[in-house]
Amino acid sequence: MTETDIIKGCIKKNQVCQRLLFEKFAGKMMSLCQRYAKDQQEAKDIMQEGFIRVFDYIAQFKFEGSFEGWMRRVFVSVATRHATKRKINFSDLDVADSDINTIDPSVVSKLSEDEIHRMIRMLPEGYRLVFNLNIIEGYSHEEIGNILGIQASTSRTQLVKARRMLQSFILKQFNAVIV
Amino acid sequence: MNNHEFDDIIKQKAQQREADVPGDIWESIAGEKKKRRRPFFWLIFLMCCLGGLGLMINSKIREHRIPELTTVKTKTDKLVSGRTNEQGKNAGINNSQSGTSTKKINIIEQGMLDSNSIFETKEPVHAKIRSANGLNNADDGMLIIDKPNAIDRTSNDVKNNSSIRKTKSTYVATEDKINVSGITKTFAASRKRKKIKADYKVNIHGGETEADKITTDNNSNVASAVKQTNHSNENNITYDALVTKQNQHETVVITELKTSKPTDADSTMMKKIIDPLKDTATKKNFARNVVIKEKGKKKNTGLKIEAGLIVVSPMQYYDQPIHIKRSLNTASFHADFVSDHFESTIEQGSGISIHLVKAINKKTDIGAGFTYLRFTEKLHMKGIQSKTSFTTVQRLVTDATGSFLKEDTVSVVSKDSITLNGRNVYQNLTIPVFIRYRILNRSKWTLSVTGGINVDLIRAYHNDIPGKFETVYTNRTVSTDSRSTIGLGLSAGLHFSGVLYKKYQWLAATSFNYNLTPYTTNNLSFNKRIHLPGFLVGVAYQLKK
Repeated sequence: MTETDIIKGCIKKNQVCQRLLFEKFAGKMMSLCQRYAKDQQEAKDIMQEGFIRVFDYIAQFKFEGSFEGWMRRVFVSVATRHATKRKINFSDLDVADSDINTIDPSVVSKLSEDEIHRMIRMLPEGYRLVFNLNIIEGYSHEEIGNILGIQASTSRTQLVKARRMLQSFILKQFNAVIV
Repeated sequence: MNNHEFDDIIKQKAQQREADVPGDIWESIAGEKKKRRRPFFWLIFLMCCLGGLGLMINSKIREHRIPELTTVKTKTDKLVSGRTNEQGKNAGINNSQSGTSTKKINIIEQGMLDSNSIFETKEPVHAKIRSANGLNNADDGMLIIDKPNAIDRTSNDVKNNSSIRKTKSTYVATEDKINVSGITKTFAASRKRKKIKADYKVNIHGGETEADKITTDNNSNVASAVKQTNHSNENNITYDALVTKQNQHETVVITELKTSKPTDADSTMMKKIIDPLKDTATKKNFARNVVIKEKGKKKNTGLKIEAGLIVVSPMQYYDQPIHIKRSLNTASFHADFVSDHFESTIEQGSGISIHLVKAINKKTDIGAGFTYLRFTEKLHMKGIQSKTSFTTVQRLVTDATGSFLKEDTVSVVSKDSITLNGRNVYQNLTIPVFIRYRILNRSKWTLSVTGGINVDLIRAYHNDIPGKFETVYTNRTVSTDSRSTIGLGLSAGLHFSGVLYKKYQWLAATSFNYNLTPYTTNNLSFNKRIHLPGFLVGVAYQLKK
């Protein structure tokens, strides 16, 4: 069964297709949920709500572009709604950034997906949200500002600091700076 | 390494990652989907109710609307006397009239005509029919006919199935010998077909016509009135004049009205018609008949008692606590339980109700009574229990006096993951006060909308899980004991009822009770609102007409 067949089945509310869709994307979506959630329970809640929304609104998918991308947007909207229910602190933290620009790409490439995920999870919530939305999901700072109710400039600042902090985590992990 | 390279690698790795999915996620998604169907059901039900209500209100409005009038030009033939009513009936409008004349009629297809239906209109509709000589002079003898649906004319008889009235004294044709007769036959209702016997009225006012004289003599708008007893045979029409009012349509038929100067025979006939109208006894009779008829139309007036069985399917909304603490103290142990997972499932309930209902007018009832409801809630809590057990032991103590056994208490602390299952019982004694408005009244049944206030006089709550509970929220902790409280709700619904036997009526009702005041002072308080959609079946007994 192709992805298109599964989606068409889901539009017709076919439960088998819904289950297949769930199994196909559950892993990636769970990872997304974990990146936004404060804990595993919230990740599960986002996951549940996200899939329900996907099944409810799947008829709106026009088969233009990637379905995974569409699904991600649905999940991100659910996740950010959960996040904005909490009080997010967009404070600035000092990061020692003397040698961060010299980090070797090969070092980052060597990191496993789980390690990167863990490091992103270690970021403070404000940094993490902006980093997730901008770098991973590709939202502009204006869009992020609208979603999170902050200024676009705040989003930019948060992103710069988030990136630096993440790089510092990576450096700590490898304890190596390569020119 | 620049930021773009770094971002790309991070993005790629983050998007590629697949996390382990907890096994129960799919079950919770499937379960949530099922839960979501329930509001849909209620939404559809509500929409059906509102739609039905709208249709009924619409039909009521249309029922009271004045029928649309259309002006139709017809031609009048020179009338030929001697034809029977039946012939005239078959003749139809178009082939029985020639010459120009204007009348306003309601266009009604012949096939719609029904001998038992009545054409209802608030205002008279006029039609003009030229006199028998066929003169085109506008001032020449005209009759203006009310509700002129399906007018037949044969010879110099005008047969019609509606009221006839001449409004101007233009009936001074050179040929005054026109007999105007009416028969009760088919009346077609506008949009609504009523199965009641059709009667109608004819008023004729004329210039120097006998009809005018009659009018003058009686100083009345009613020229003559004859209750017709046989619809098909003109000869059987009796002249026992009784003006029988039936809605707006009065049964009056002029069987023979000559526009010539009255003869002795005519005078006798008119006298027969008019005299009873002057007679006090007849008037009283008429008035009584009208009253009786009006009384006959009244339904469900007076006082009645209603008793019914209720089934409710409660819906609950509450604040989700962070956790729930339970403390249990006995002689042998002390246990503290903290739940990290909590489930509450409210179950269907049932009850009884007794109401007294009083009609305040033809369509509106008010009522009050008592309702007892009982429903339950299943509780399921999972958490860690810290239990301290106290055991009495004997310890060997040795001192200067020797060795002896001394009693001592040993406490053993254990921590276990346990599950608490229980059931809460809610019992409500409510005083409902409501108003009921009848929107549909049929011979066998009626449909009403009901709205009101429910005062929960007693809200009893019983929890069968032992121990003292504390419910912890983000901003407060609620620790309460089980006790009764009062509450308030708003209710709305539909109420069907019909005749069962003599003074007994069956009744069925749907209602939704919206809980205004939450259940706050119970054990395991969740600041809970319990809305009660329900269904009631029962019987009513008419105490007083």
